[in-house]
Amino acid sequence: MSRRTADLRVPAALLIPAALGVAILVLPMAGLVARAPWGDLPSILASDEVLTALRLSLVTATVSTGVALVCGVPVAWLLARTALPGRSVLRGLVTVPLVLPPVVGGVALLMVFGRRGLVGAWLYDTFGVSLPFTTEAVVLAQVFVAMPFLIVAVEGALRTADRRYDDVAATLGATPWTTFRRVTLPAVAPGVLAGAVLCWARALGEFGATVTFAGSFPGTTRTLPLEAYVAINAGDSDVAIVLSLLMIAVSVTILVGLRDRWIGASQ
Amino acid sequence: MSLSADLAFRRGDLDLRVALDVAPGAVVALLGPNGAGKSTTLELLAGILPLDDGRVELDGVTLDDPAGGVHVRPRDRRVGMVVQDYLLFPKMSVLENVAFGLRSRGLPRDRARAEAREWLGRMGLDGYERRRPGELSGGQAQRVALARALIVEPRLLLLDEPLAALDAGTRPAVRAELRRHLAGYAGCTLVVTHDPLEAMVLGDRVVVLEGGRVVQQGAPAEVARRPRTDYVARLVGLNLLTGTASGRTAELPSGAVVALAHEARGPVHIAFPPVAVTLSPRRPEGSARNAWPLVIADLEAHGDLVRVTADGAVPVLADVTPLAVADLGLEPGGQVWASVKATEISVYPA
Repeated sequence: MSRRTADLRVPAALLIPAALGVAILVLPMAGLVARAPWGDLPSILASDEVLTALRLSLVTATVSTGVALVCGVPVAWLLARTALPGRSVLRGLVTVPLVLPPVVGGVALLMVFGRRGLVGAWLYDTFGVSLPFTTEAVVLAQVFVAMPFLIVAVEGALRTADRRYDDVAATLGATPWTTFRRVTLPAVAPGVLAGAVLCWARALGEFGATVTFAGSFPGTTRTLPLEAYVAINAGDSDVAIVLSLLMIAVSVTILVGLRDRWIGASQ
Repeated sequence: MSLSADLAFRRGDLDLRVALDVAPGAVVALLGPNGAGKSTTLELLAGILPLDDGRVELDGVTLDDPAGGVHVRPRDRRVGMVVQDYLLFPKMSVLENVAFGLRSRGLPRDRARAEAREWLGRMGLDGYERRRPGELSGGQAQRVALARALIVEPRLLLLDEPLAALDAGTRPAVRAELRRHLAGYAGCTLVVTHDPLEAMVLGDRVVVLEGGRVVQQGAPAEVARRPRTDYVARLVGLNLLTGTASGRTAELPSGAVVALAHEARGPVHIAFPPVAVTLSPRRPEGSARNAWPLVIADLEAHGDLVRVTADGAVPVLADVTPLAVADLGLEPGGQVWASVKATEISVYPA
């Protein structure tokens, strides 16, 4: 390393835009910390609105992650391990939500699951069930937006896992399901965990699809990000700041927790 | 229990056409260079790859018959496999690894574990039940892999380079042990290796595969004594020439003539060990009737001796002492006479 100290003289043409970039990323968070109403923080955190939104967020993000695990891991397996025709098209389709504006996802969900939507009309006519503007809608919106993160992470783990283990398991008499359960899944467990954590964090921060498809009703659909948005619109910046800090704390905790997997991996 | 296989398979550069028969309880060593199709042969027999054409029968049961639409799935074949890096399931204990096959076949957990424990005992691995595969030495991992494969009583056992992952120091002991375990196994065994010693020690019969074809097969001693291809000759350390015999001489394609100790006729292989070759600066006088002027291509340490590669009408390898190298002033590019007594030469039909 010492031999490279001469290279530390960074050219100004790189240093100035780099400093600007760091500032754009870090300043807003620093601003939040600087403006935080530290004295009122405990009382704001303990207020009914915040606690209700926090509970709703934790519950919906966790349920969404559960749904994403149950459905997303099999999707990842199909993509990574089978010779399914049209596999690349399928991969493209299930990862579209990664780049789609969440509000578009919300509109799309409304078109399908709304009371006059393709599936929604049938649900309503047959079971009298209407999804929009319910907690279930929040979960659906979160799954739509967050599950692709899980699928991508798990598919990557499945691709790097050695398939010869599956062959060995087969020669020992294991069915594909037993092999998946006892050999493949344990082998990709770290990838599944990382995907689940990422998925959970994304679900927790979900705003656009939720507000479009589920609306903003206290106690049923108003999650933390929606509560923060409502607060800032109502001119209550203290509450908005506290909620923002809360979400930053969660994000940073997750990032630190996964440090060894991603940030550490490049070293 | 016996295996009769006739395999045809084409993929990329590999064009495999192999007929194999393994007698009940026998160990056949499949010897060949990289890319000869050894591992592919095993994968075909295990049912992991589909045959293009041919037939596989094990104990009279047809496992593969593409023409008749028969392909028994790997899990229904009763064909066990142990590969070079053993592929023990890393997240399972040693005991669970061994019990895996029985549990996959629906045996209750306790009974599967009890039987696995018994197998570990038989393999000299008492007390290792709760270890993880990562905590085992290469030799131990191999025994666990063997126990895992044998516990489900396969009719055919496939071993793919079972000793290649071990360091040179532990290999002889593990090889001897593996031989002992194989001797106690009633089914057919096929061992893939590129190491001639391994093939000779483990195999009752050696089948040599080159470029997807069987080029030689026979008892280990037969293959070692009478190589039929340059690859085998190099492996067993013999000079191999091919020519046409007529009486007590044989003519090589180069026109050179080799004197033989016994009568022979027609196309023949001519083999002799490098230590039987004498090098001298001038045409030797005396009993050796085979003497050829050659040019030295290479000198290389070979144990206590120096292996000399010499080219000419009769290309030979000669093993000589370092003293001889110094006395004769041997060096690449130098001229030398090589002579071999006819009685040192073995001749057999090509």
